[in-house]
Amino acid sequence: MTDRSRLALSALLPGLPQLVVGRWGVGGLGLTVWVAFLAVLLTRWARFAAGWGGPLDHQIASLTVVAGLLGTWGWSMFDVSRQAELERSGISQWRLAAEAFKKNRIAVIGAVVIVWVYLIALVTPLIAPYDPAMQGPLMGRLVAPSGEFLLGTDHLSRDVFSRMMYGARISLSIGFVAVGISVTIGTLLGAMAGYLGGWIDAVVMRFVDMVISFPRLVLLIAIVALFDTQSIFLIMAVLGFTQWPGTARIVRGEVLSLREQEFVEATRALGFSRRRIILRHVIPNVLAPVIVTATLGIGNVIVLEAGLSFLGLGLQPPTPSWGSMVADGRNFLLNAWWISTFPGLAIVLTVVAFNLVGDGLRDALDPRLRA
Amino acid sequence: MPLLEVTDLRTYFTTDAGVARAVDGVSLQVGVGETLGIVGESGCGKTVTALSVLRLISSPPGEIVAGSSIRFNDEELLEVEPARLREIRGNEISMIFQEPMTSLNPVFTVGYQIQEVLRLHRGLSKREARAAGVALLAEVGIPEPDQRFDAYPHQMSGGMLQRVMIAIALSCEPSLLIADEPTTALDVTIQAQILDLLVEMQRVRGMALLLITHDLGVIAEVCDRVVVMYGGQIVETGTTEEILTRPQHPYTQGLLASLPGIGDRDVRLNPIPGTVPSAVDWPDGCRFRDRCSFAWERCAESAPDLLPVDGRSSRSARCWLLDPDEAAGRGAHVTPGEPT
Repeated sequence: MTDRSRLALSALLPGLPQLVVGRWGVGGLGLTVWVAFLAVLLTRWARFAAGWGGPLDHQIASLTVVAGLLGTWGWSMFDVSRQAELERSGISQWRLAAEAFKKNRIAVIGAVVIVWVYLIALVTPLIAPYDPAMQGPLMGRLVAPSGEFLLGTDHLSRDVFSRMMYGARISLSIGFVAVGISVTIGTLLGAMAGYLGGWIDAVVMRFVDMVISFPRLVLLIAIVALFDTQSIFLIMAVLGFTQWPGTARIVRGEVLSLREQEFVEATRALGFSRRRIILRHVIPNVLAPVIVTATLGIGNVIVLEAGLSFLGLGLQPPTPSWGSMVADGRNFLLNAWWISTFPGLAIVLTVVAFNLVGDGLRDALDPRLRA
Repeated sequence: MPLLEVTDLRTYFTTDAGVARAVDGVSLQVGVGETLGIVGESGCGKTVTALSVLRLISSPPGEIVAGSSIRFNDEELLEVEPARLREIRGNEISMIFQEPMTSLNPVFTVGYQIQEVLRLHRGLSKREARAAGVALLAEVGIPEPDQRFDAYPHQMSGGMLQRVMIAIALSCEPSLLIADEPTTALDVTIQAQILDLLVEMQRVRGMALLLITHDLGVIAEVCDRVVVMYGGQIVETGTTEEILTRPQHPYTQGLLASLPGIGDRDVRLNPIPGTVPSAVDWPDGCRFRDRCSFAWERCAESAPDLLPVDGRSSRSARCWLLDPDEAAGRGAHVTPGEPT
């Protein structure tokens, strides 16, 4: 295929040129995102247009559609035209890892699933068939999955499918933010403890030991119970601030061995400040294990949040979250199995996807495991 | 006034086994534009001496003992503020290390790492630093420097990486370059190239070079003066020619005698017997006496100072054989200066 025809194809159907040359992961993702978002734009034009003046989440949804379409198109055009440039530039460790990751089919599928779950969560206000909090007529209770209600309704006549889509936003944003908090704190404190040693190391690591020695769920319940209202920010913060010790331990261990390497000594001999050495030279070298723990950590946090919600310590009803939906449905398991089952499956699917990607990243980022 | 003047440097390490006196009273001077070689076997304290000069000894466990002095350009390095020390490091005194394959950060391109130093110490913009960096790479003999600038360390060979390290070390025009066994990890043909490069760079820039090595061949090729270290102390100093042709200390004599000659196929090597004693527990008296074929009672009783050879202060050796009283009293028990 000539460059020109590839460009033309990319302009029309981004992702297809990549798909044709066998890059099924990114190609398939690009193409499906492009087609699906175009479909959303055409079929939900009214909601899309109204989104700009609506509440924040609605604005974000409309923005996501625009960004997704532009991003997919721009990426594909850039990707098609930059092959020559790629061959010239140096091969970074990240690129080597990306090559290795692509060979892992299951991990790529996991990554595609994750991207899709996040995209759906972002554009939910545009595509959800019903208002998640809207209670229908009494006779609409516990309706089995059908054409009208794809995944049925719950005991308050609410559409399970719509609630699941809204619930995804809660679960995923909590997972993302909590892990963001924990990775930032864990990496910085772990790197400082490992590199600086001395009393800083002792204080940080004893604190880590203390947090880890509590059963996590009991600790969470105790902290959440201290507050009157359970806002999403509280849950994010609590999960984030109890998650970092694991990361800190891993980072510290890595830094202890890095510190003895000659290139770190060389940076000291070149007159770099400790701050610069830690931030610019030590931390980039520990990012590989950090990324792996972060990915696995998101799955972990999603399960914990579901557990808290299941116990009634999560978000206040009627805000849907996967955990609270499972809890809602447990009284109706025998006659309305769909209320608990589908959110449960969503949790399983997402967490498994994160774990597959985490495993794939671990293999790809560790040169010793690279085939 | 010498460029670098180290006086009575003592660097001790606290270990579980006790205090290791890795460097124990070293004094040396490097003049402007001069090449001084420090030679000795593993564990003699030559690397610790070099690291001490830049205050790169991590503390704990290491400690530069009070009373030591390191003056550079008439500035006491052991007393300068951390900010001033960082200014000196990489800028006025640079260092290159033994293992080029691990001396560069694997996650950045070599170009980025050159740029970083130039931007930090010389305040260049990104574009200026790139131009200067490419010029440096060309100067140290890297082919296609413009492309190599964007390569990652794992894409380059050991010899090329050592050239990059030299480029980084020279980027800020230091007046002193410390090279800690710069050729040990390279194969022989590359070793010669790197040495030639170092000598060339030194000549062009008029900088002083403190070269640490255990390879007497390297010393012979490059250095003006030589310091021989053993057991954390200097045992002999002199010009390269004096050391290589008329060694005075039995240890230096042993080092030279242990070198294999080209063509000596069936000749046994002539090693110095025994091993280096532990730095935690140096023997009393002369530290070399257990391995020395000349040792007698006096060597165990008291440690010799650095004694002048031929009455000159620039030439000295730490051996009782050079004590004039000894020579007279014992009636020339052995003839100093003749390798056995």
